Amino acid sequence: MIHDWDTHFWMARVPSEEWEEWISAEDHGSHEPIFQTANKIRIEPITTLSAQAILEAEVPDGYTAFLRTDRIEIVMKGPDAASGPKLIYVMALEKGHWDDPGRVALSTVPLKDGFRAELRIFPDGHGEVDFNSSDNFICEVTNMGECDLYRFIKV
Amino acid sequence: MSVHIRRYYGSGPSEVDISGGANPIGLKLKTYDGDSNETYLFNATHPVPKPTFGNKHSFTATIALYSDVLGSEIYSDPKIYSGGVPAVPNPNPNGYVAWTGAQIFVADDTDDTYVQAAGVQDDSGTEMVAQGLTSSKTDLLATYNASNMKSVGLVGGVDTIGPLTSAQRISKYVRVQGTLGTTCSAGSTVLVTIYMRYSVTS
Repeated sequence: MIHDWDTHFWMARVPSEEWEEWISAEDHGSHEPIFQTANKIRIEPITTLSAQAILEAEVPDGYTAFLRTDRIEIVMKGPDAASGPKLIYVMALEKGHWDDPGRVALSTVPLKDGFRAELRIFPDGHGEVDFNSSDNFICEVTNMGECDLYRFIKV
Repeated sequence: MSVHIRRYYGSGPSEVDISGGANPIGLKLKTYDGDSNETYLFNATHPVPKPTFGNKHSFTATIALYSDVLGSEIYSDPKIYSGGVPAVPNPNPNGYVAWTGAQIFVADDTDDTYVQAAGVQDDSGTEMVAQGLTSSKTDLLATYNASNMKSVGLVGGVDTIGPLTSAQRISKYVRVQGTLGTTCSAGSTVLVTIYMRYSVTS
């Protein structure tokens, strides 16, 4: 589901007899079983006004993908409130199997063999990417003109 | 339809959304907690007096995440954190005072049972541990930040909740209380930022 407050959305490549089949947040939720078959996942900007960053990862056999959108509400608003992110797109991979990964709290999944990537969207619209991993995943950044592609790769 | 932070107050409890919208109310800590909007309005009524000895406290405020998004979202990992202790701005046209001698505590325990804050109106709230609202507490501004958030827990202690069939509180109750010591300065402290963060399965 894409919300009116979203700046980015996910896409996932799933096995198909066709050359290539992609599903996306436009028609699916990442808690649906079809998402668990994905072998490549991406988080992409919705418009040219969104922070121009793409996150992408292949899903190796034996790994589970998790997608979350973290939202931030303000309890007390000081002058520094505008300097914190308002929205964070989370992409995570972890080795192992979860029956229903869309209904797992990511905080209960220790980072042992996988990665966590965050695309943080700030009130002024700019974005920043943060990446943490076990030692067998790396992040490669490619500038594609108007957009930066962050690829998370198992090495 | 959205997720907001809701403040619970008075004996009922009564409820009010304090985040979201064009002009969010925010959280005001006072020496009052009754079934009236005086409990939460962002004005100068019912301030916490500067103590001549020991401490004075605000009445403990109770907040939680509340959602009226039906049929679609799965929630997890609610957390609370702050932007830290702010410095006095320069220039300082509003005459804010530093946080010396002033703290905001968050209860270490979160739960699903509402208890109205106790205290003596316009003098001091009952300290949250003494009232039995929590077994211990932590200095929110000094301890919890974007790199070290406090986990709050979902209502009922589940790992995830949703999609919802009716609007409801989705996190456990979080309790916060302002505390002043004798070294504090009279006046309004520099505005602080406190956040709540939660995950939605995309």
